[in-house]
Amino acid sequence: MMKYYLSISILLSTILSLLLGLGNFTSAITTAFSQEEFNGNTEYPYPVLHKIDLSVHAIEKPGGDLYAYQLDSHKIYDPETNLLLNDITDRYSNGPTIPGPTLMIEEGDSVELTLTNPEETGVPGMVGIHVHGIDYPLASDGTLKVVNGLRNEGVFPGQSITYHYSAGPATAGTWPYHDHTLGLNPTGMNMNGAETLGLFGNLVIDSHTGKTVALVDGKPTIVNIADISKDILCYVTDDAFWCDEIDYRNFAEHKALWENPTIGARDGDLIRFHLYGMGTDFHIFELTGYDWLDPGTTQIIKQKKFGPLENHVFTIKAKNGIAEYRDTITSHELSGLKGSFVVDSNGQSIQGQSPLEVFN
Amino acid sequence: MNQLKNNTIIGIFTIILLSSTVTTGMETIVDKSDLIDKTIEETNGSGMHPIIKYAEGYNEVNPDNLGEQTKSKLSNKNLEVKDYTVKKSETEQTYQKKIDPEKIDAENKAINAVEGSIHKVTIEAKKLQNGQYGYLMKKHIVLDDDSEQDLTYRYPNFPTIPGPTLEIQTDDLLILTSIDENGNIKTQNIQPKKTGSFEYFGENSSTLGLFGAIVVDSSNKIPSKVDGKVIEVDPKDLEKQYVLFMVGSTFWGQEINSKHIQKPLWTNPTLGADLNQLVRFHVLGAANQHTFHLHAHEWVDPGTANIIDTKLISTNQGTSFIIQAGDRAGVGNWSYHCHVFAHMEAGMMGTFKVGPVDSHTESVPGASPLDSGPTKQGNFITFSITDEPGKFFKNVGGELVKGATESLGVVEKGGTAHFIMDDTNTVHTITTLLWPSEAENMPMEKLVDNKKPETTKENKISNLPQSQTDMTPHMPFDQITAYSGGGIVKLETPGLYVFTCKVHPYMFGGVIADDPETENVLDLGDELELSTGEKIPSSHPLTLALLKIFFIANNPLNWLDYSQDNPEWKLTFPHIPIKTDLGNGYLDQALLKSIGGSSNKQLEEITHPGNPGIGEVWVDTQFEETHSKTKPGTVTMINTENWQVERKVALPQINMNNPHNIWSDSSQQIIYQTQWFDNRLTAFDRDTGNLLDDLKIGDAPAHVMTNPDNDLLYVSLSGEQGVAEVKFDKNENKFKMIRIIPTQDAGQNPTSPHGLWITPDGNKMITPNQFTDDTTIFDFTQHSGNGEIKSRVDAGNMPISTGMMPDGKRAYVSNLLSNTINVIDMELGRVVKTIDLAASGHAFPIQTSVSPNGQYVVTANTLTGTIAIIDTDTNEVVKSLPCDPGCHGVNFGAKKDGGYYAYVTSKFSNRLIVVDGDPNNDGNPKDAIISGTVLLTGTYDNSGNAQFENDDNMAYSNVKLKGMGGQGTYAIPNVYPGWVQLLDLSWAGQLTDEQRDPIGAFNTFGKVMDNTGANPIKVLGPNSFNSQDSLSELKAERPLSQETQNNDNQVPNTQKELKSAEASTNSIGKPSIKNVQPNNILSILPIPYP
Repeated sequence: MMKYYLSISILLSTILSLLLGLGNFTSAITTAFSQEEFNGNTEYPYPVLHKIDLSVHAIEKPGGDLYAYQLDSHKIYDPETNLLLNDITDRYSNGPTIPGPTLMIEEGDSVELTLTNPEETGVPGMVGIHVHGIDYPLASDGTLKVVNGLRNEGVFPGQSITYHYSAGPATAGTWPYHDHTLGLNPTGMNMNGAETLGLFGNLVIDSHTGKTVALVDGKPTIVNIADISKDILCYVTDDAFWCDEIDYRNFAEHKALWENPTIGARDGDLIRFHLYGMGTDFHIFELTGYDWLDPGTTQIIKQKKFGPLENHVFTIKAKNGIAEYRDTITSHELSGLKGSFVVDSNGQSIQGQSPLEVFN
Repeated sequence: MNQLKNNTIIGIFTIILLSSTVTTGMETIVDKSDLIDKTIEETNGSGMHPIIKYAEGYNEVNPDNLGEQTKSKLSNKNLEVKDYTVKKSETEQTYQKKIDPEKIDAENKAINAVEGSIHKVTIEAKKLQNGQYGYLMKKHIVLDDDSEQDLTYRYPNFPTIPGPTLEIQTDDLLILTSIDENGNIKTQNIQPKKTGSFEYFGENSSTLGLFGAIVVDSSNKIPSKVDGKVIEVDPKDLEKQYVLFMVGSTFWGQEINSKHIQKPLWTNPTLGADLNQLVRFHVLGAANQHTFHLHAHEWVDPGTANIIDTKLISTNQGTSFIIQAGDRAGVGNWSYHCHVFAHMEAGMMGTFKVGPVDSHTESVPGASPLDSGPTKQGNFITFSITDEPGKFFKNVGGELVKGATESLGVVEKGGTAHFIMDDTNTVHTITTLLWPSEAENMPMEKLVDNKKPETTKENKISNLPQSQTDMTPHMPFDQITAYSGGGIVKLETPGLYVFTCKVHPYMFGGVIADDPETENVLDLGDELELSTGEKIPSSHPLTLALLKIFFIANNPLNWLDYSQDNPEWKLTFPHIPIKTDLGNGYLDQALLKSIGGSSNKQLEEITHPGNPGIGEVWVDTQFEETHSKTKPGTVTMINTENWQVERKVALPQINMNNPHNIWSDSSQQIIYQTQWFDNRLTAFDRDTGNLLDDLKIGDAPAHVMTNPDNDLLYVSLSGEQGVAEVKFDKNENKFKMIRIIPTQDAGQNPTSPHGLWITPDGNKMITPNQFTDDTTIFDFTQHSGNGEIKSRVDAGNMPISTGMMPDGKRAYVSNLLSNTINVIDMELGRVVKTIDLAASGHAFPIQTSVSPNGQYVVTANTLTGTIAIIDTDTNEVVKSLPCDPGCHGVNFGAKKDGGYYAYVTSKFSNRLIVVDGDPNNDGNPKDAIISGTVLLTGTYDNSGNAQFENDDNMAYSNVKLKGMGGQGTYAIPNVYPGWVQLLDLSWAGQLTDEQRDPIGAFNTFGKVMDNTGANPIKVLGPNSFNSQDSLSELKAERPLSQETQNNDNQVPNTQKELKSAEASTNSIGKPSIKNVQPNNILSILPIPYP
């Protein structure tokens, strides 16, 4: 689904400047940001319209249900002619997943996202979607009327709502989407935070340049997004890593990896990690034996602290062996916030425990 | 302990350079990090901040070493600010000593290079009416080469939170003089070296308002995202700047307009701007960690090319960024908030209101400590959350009227209750226990009238939405998880609001929101709602009972001191005029009436049990304050041979904080102690009281016990989400954390496990989960020995403690707020019976222990101050005994020559009650009695010397709240089935055969469940009886104590017991967990009012 554009991106310019040793960040940014491209209108050669249907479902569990988003349909249209260009629904996992389906779009695209809360299997209250990073009007904020002053932008069981987003200029990046109703139900009882019970997912807006930056063999390097073998997207909640994977060796298939999975890759693969905090705790992430670039800089790091809804995205080159990803905060690690990153000839990830598994 | 908290307020600044350009991932870690770190830190209330902190790129210079050029600039001007008294403070001298001579040269060079202006700024710390502090700008003068300009007009002429923002340039010199509330002054010379937003704050109580921002700009422009492009913006072109401090769970805001005039915006303000205006945010942290998020706007993360919309804000760190209002999203009420979920729930949100072009959309200040209210404290009550007994919710404005405690506040309706967890070492929640039922669901009504959201494709909104945003969290006010932070809530509906912490449910803070239309009285509201869902009139006996315990818990003068000769209990309640559903009256009179009319009561003398026990009883006298600790609590050891206190362990070297629950290793030599208001587990030697190890184990460790199978420790972490499994290495005397066993599956809401128990065979563990109203049964044998959660069993409201039958097949779980005990079948994983304690005169049950031979259960009830004895044959209350207010802990020890004693503690008294559940040893507890009582203060000779071993200079005058706060208790030797078998001969030899083999004894009495597990059937045993028999015997039973006879309001008499026993007989087999009706409670609290 990757498309490439010929124009130079801001990120690319910045990184190029950095690599050329143009001095400190300020001047690098200055150089990058004064590219003439950014003084004129950005043009996207192939903008498309994504029509996406999501639904929310309760996963019943003794001790408290979890909630999850499910992708029902993802079709790509020509925004001018409204012609169906592609139906990529098959790339997604079947059924509800945590995190929710990873939505992949590019700068310049627009999105029409319809969320349904089914009468039978849905979530017993108002839930919605609030998305970060992308451009949208107030009516698509996904918040309650008490917050936005306009209307309740969520759905009770049996209802649907459509949100409109547009990936305008400078929106490239990985952004979270999540429920933002704070879990209120029609009788006013607090549902105790639907946002933390599984209603979160990722929106990836790739740069229209088709380029990103990676740390390859210890050097900051510009790579083609098309050369990335896997996107690994993990939410670090207060008690687990919840991961999703997109495998480009396998027709960009999305695979729900669930809790603390074993992440697989092949030697030399470019792997892009997208990490998010969610909940109340803060985390210090580490991938043993690897270092990477702190986003937006050429700084090489091997640990990163982040809190709820802060993102951390980096690309590395996988090397043979077994590494561990973990939250180094002791109480988190001791309660199981960790997993393996296995690089071998197989390259397959192994799903972790799923809340859909039958409770014995 | 002379001063629990040295609370001197020093307004003198500490200047910290907060880097807004941090790009490393290796930031300093605070809060929950590295819990296994064994470094023991002193956590005195004073000296929380170093006097001076340096950060990269920032110089503070000694005034004597200013460059010649600078000196000459200064000498030409008369800059004395003369409206305050100058006292050279000690702090200043200390500061001067700290200057490193080697640094001075470098600094001299730097100062000589000052080419910009010199800012002479004087600010003063002022106490606000509600007890918080703010900084007031006294004078701001700018010296240029040939001019002097007074900029003081830019600032409000009253103290504000945050304090004045100091705007300077990188080449300026800032001479900052601060004055504290005692008139002490300190001057610091500051030369910034890089741009950004930095924080200054007071050395003490900074979280109560002593913080402000220094904004440093240069001639450089700032890369900013505008119109979908990153362009460079000159700070001079900014329309407005907002300063937001993230503190606890509150934003404290300020606006600076294009003319640099500063306007205080106070708490969670609405920030106003017109579409496309360029505005700058300065977001800084003054307490706790946060993530700042602004809807629909993104910005360039300073120092990087990264575009973000959420940013980590740590304490004393900040960020600064420019946005274009509306940012391709348009006009609207865009939310800004902390993205830490518990902070969002606790109210940490505001609105960024973007109006159309040229609409002159103004910012709207939020609630302020300066708002006027019904009392001298104004309309904004701030509670500091502390570890201090009786002041867990401490109104920083102090006691309103005598006897009102420091935990009560009064506002007008619409006033604000504000909380900050600034004096506690662990996590909490801010949860309403009680609120006016009309406040329920506000503002949810606005929600339900708009059930069908439009599926409009509206992409443009030309005008602002008409309806006002209302970010006020609705009642009940609650959070799903325990956290570090605070809370803020507007109380729109008149009436009484009681807040508690769900982790530590005897922490209480109360606010009365008064309706100004009812003159001369304070409105409690007509109907109040409890967190259990019950609604009760404000004159209801239960309301009064709750208020009574509120004023006892929060006022140590109301605690029962048995150490006096001829002990008396003198109660003081506040003389406040109140209005209830039944009319007006005085609170103190109503409360006194409810307890029999008299504020003075004669207390029973201490009477030791006639028969000795075996070994020792250890009691967590959790509130006792000793000489050299800033945190309370001792562990008191009583020799059961003579019932004398022989040792108190205070552990001043680790500042042991609120010791809550005890256990020992199998050799009975090492005592394990949890610190519930902290994050530590401690081991000390039983013989010497010497500290062995102190482990940071996780937040709010509640109960500890060993697994008899492997002697590993299991510690319920009530502030975390699981049970820590810990090994104690006896060779090295060190703890080793093995893992934390989650008590819920990943993603599920946190459980907050409390009083756990492990089956005698060591195979299963059950935790009562305070937050999720259920229990977790964990099976150690599953999943290749790693164990797994076997079941989650629904319980009542706030299950808190567990007892276990000797065969490990049945557990008894007490539900604090629903006044019930669930009998749980450990195999089937379900409740087989619910025992209604309220029906027999008991409310708010806490620790619930099963006698080692499985014959009966003893439950301590904290609201009623009573002890319930339950026969495990019938699972009914067969006996009620009096206890003290805050009745809390129960554990069993061996009685000499056979039988057991149940040791019962109370938080708000200093005696231990010794219960013999079966004096005639016939297996039937209906003859349970109080065998005696033990004073927990220990004894002192005439010169005030302690007549017991201790480790903290416990002379009489050095100890406060003597013997108070009885909670966890533990008898040595441990004679519970499973553990008693592990005793060596020195202990086992003192036990009877039956005591050594309680499981055998239990089998002799032969309690067998029927097929459904619904009702236990007695198959054999010497003392079968039916319930009618027991009732008739009950009738003949005499009340046990003087107090019982004198005061039938406190302790149920036999008539009532009879009635309730009948009632409960009728309801056998119909477990009803969550529908305890107020009527049941009414029957036990027959308090006439008014």
